[in-house]
Amino acid sequence: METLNLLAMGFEQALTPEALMFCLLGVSLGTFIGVLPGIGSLTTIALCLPLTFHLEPLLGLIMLAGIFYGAQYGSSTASILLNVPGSAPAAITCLDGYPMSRQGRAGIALFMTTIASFIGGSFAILLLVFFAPVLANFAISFSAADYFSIMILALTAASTLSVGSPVKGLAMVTFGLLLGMVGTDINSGQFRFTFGIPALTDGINLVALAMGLFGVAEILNNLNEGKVPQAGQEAITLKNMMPTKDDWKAFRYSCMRGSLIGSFIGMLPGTGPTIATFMAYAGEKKLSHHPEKFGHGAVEGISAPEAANNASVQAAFIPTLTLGVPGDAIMAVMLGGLLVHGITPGPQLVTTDAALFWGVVASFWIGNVLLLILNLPMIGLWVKLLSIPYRFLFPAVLFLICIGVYSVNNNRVDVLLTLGFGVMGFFLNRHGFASAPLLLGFVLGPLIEENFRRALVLSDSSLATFVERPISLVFLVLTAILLVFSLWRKTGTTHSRSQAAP
Amino acid sequence: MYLRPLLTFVLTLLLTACGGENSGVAGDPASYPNKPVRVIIPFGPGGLADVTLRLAGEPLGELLGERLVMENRPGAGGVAATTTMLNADPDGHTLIVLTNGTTIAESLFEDLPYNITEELVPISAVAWFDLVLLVNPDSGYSDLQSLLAARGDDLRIATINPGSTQNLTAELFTSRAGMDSATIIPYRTTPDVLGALLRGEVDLAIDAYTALKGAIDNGQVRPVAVTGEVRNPAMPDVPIAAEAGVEDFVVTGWNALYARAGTDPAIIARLNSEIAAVLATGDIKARFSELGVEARGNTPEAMQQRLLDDIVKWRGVIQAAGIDTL
Amino acid sequence: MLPTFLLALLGLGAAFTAFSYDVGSFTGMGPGFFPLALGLILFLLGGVILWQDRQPPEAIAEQAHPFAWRPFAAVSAGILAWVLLAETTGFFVAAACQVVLTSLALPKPRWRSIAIMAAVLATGGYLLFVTQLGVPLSAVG
Repeated sequence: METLNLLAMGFEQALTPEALMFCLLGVSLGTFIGVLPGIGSLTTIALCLPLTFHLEPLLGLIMLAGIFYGAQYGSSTASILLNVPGSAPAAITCLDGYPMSRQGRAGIALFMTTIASFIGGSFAILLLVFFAPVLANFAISFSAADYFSIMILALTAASTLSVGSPVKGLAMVTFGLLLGMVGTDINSGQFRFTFGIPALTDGINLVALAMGLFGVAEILNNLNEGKVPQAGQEAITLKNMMPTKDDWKAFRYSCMRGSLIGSFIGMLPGTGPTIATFMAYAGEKKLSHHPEKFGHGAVEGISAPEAANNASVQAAFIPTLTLGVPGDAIMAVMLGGLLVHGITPGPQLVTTDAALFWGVVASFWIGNVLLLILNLPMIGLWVKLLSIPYRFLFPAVLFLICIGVYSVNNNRVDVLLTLGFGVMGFFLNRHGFASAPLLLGFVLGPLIEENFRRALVLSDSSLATFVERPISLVFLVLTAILLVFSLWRKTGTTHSRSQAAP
Repeated sequence: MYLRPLLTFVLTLLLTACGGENSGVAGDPASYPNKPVRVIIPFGPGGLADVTLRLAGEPLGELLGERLVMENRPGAGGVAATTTMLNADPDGHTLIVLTNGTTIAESLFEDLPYNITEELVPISAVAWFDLVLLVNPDSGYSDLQSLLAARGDDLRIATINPGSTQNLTAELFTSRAGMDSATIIPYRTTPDVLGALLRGEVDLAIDAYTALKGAIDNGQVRPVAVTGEVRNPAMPDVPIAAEAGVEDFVVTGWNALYARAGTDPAIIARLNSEIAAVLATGDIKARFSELGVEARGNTPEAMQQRLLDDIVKWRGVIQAAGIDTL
Repeated sequence: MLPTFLLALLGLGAAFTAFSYDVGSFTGMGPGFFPLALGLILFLLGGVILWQDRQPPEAIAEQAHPFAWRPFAAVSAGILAWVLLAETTGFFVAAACQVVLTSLALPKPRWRSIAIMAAVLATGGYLLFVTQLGVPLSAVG
């Protein structure tokens, strides 16, 4: 088959010593950066971009891509061990990963997230290899109405994210949606909630918000309670990294579902891994027979989001490489790197520069394998990290958060915002308001509004467009089903409880 | 118990902090440059301003004898970048990239604490680029006039976000072409604009040539006009706006290097001539045109005039279009 | 109680500000429509939560761990120190200040360990972020 031939050629390219070296460099750096809170793959890639100008395009691209998906492997490490996410999408992994760590299952959690990341990434790569053109065209056909309906579905996912009062969860989502409004309205150019501050016209920085809400707030909370979180001190052997049979059972299908959701969301330009991980988590919770497990160390709560995370990040390459249309900001930076070498990305890249295209694709898979090999032994190391006394750990984490957030835009205001959101998150958490719904609302808000309004402009103010377009209709129906299902379940349980009571 | 050492510590710090202000030294042309030259870029890495300056920066660094270090300071209105710039000494070791986007920001952000026309002085332009008007090749329109005639008031134009050069160009276009009731639909990024055009949601897309060069070259989109003063050598068959029937509609984007006011004129003159030399080399010319931009320098006076003209021009467009300002 | 109240107030404030942007209609939304709606919803939700939580304040306060000033002040001061000092006094001073101040969150600070940690973090951070990754901060001033 033609594809397999090309793939073989790609592997040939990617398995040269130099290619392997840069791949290893990229994925190692990526994992390391992923573990560090604040600084993310975008910043790192941007900062490493100049280094690649002196390299052959293939090598440079392999390294940058390695940083990109490598970071997704590392970002859940800090989430699980410290309840401080390495990046915004990893915030979801805190919800069940950290409880697992408190239960002494940190090694297992890390092991499973690594495997899940590998599966998610591999799945998306398979899609890329065999179906890229079809999928790319499919993805590009999504119009504003379709995006809106998907985002609405994602929004209903928010209701699954809060443990405790649903009204408070709803309030947090709304608050998040409102925070997303700060900045410039895309449809009209109107500055909203900027109060004359130019720095706010670009909106609130997602990294600052996530690090503050989840990182700083968590540390403030720990310090306030005087509780010093220390997991068990036993050495990590292969044996206690191994999940139980029940764990594997829970893992299997949740991982697949996460990969699917992640790939789908990832290939749509403009969406991002944060939405993918949140939707994967919500999907698992809704489908589970024991939703009360979530938030207390449910395996599905980490396997699905992690698979989704990596899948979405790999799938983002689909529109990028086949259409020359970057799926998000990171891709745009990488394409900028290509431009410097005089390579213009686009559909013709696949044919005219097939060696480059397939070499990069092959390196994705090699990179994922390398990450698997790299990360597994490191698990013991990371868990050891927990035995560092908290009095040294938390200043270090705060330090990393500060410099990490700063490095995104080289802007001190972002760090100030992190503190602000940390304080806010701390007080809100104390009164039963969860942070995860706020983050989701923040990410979704602008997308929902923008696409709703644009859909109406495109349809000349006809609301029918949301049901006339097949994709949009499908997602609206799914949303409706989901809502009905949740309500039915809720009344079902109250019904059976009231029957059992007397 | 530990209060006193702590206080001393903090006081020392504050004093050091106060001493860290710049001394306003103008710099000595004879020894210039004597350390690496910072180039502040008000955009993130990978963007056009970034890439062109990095490409030109290498040979320029060699000519000067010190390397150029790119410093990305993105942020709305170029405020972060400009603020950083104005904190540096006017000795020519810190330069900033201004673009036509800067001239737009002058009108979008009215209350900035600085005045770029007075506090910054030009060195030279570096790159120039056209914007292109594009249609979907399957749409059946062979040229701009037939498109305008067929669509009339229903015309839909896709651009990136409001306040960008592309978006304002579209506003200017609608008024010059007499199509004031056309709908301009802003999208977040160029790929979104491309997608919109490919899906047939819009009739026309206006974006920078560089951004969509790939799509143009492989036939995904068809250019019906360029916005420059003369035809673009990369697309010799594409008419300029005037030839396509739209009068008084010329937009060219640019990047330029600026220094702080008070920098020794000899330093500026030297930079100008070195930049001109770099931009004249075949290698730079070729690499820039692969990107879809033209490598061309000019005199500081010409650059400043261009800056001032553009500020006036875009202010007019912003006011006419009723775009919100801060 | 207080956060809920503040949230509700925020919602109202947002709605009020949003009103000054062009609101438009449901099918022809202006920039003010969505924020206005969200602000009002938040305000209403705040009201609902206040109603649901209508217990005497003492009962609520018991649920959360009592608030301790020291860690809060230390962490805030530390991060603020970074924000204020990073670009003016250089990386090392800012980092050192930040680490020292945040370490004060826990009682009985061990000065020697803190000093060592500050030195290690500042040096390591500088090498990684400034030297290797090119974050534009100078070492001193």
